[in-house]
Amino acid sequence: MGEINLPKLKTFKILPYLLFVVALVPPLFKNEYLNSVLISIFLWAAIGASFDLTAGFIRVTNFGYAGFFAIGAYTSGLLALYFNISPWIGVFPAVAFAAALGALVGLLTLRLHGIYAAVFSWFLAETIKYILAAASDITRGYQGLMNPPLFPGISRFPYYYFILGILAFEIIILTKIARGKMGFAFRVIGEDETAAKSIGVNVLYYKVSAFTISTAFAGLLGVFYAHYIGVITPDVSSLVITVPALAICYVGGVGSIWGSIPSSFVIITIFEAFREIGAYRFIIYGVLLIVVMIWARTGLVGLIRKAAEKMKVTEKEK
Amino acid sequence: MISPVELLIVSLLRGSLYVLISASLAMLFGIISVASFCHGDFAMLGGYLSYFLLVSLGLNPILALVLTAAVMFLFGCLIEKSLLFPLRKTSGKLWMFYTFVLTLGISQVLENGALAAFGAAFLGIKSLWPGNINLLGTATSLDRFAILGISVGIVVVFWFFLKYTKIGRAIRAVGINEEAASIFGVNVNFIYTLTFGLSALLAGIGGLFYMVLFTTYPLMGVTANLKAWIVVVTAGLGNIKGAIYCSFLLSFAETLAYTFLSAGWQNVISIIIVALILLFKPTGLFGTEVKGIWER
Repeated sequence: MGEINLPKLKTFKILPYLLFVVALVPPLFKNEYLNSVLISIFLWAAIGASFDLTAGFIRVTNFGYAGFFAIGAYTSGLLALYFNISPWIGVFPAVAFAAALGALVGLLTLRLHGIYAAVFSWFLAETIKYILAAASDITRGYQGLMNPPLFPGISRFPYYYFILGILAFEIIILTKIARGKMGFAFRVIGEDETAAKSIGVNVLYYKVSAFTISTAFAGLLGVFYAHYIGVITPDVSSLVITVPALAICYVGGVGSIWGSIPSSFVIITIFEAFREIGAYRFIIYGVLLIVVMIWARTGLVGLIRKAAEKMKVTEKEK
Repeated sequence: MISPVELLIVSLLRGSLYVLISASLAMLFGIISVASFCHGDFAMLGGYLSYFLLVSLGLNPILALVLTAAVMFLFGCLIEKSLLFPLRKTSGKLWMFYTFVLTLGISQVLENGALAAFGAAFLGIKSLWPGNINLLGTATSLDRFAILGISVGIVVVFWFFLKYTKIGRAIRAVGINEEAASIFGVNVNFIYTLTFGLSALLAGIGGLFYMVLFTTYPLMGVTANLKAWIVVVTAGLGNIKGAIYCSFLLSFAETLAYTFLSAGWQNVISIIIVALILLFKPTGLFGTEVKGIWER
């Protein structure tokens, strides 16, 4: 399957400049609405990228992504409510909890075919949702759990730079992993598990590693989400989170890590443009998923690469 | 306090709701390696369709059932031909991995399409055949027994179809070895379409029953799908016979949980069972007859 290649180094040369331009947006435009849209774009890009580590590399579509996201969100939120622990400290147990659960699920299910991990973590996410809803004395159920903000004041300014920083950090870390020995092992396993085994790759170790790293990021982003949005309900552990995560990852192009950035940009912009359809907006995810799976499996990354190659060819002709 | 006999009867009646949806999901998996995420939504569509046939058109229940089955079969065939077939042509070894994502997309379209078209209201009817049966001192509606009877009847007919007819044998042959079947003259593409259509048909009838006993609503498919998957994983992926038994097993466990725990916890029980099974017997309670085939 030659359809997925590592991003060329060239792509990354423009990244610092891009980051610089994006960082200038809030002071230049001073528009809170624009900031909030960009914050969602960065958040969902980060979610999509962490989803990609399992979907695009070890070929496990983590249908329970939302469960780990919710574990992060609720751990930090509940610690803040009951023990008055600042989210800046609460983030550590939250991420640790999400990662530990990820490792546990991985050890239990990744010995088997990838579908078991996908389905089992989906069951788990649904169960977490039911438990959060049933234990409403503690979690406040569907009334919603109020979380203290990360930064004082009502301005979205600090959140903007914070999530941008998280996104940059995550993309760098994940790309480092993807380019390294570990990423190579992930890819080989994703392409052909039996072949990977036969050349002496410790399949279970690498699969569990990929899964755990992905769920740790899910937990981290859950913490950000909880304290940025302010009120969370058990629905953070449902397909309401998993479907956009999956769609953004696949539309961006699986196995690319950075594909989630343009994809999140396009999808969130579409949603902002069609605000009125609100309730039915998931239909867009459905249509996009169908189109991407059947006609454009390399996603936006594939289209961008094709366009770049065409440009190169025309340059040579000149 | 509920007596053991009552417990058995209640779970038997409940299980008949799950059996068609779960068995057809197992069939999709076992025969054509489709990990369907929109199976519950086919049940939802079946529920809506039969509601309109029964209420708006006022049709006789049997006629409504047959019409629902026919329309759902055609709908399933259409989805297979238009969406799954083009995917299959290009996906090779990753076919099952891709079907999961594609069917998730289909499910989002169906759910939100239903929400836009029919609204969020819960639609249901009082009964197909009014009347109660007095059983051990508790009145149970005639419908529940009729549904149990029809479900079991359909399962039996279906079993005979798979086991003894020429097409049924061809379907099983494709499930065991696609290439060999195609060498022996089985039209594999036709079998794929037929199997998908049949599974949509069964899910649609399951949805009709669900609508009669409870209600149908746009997100009904989410719950139906979750339960069907729990059954299929418990039974052993792709094991149709196991899925039939496990439907009743799940409903038994759920009835127990309903009786002894407060509502909302039966799902927790289900996942604990699944976790234990994955830990100790990953191939499922009944094993996977077709093990390895769906891993191609």
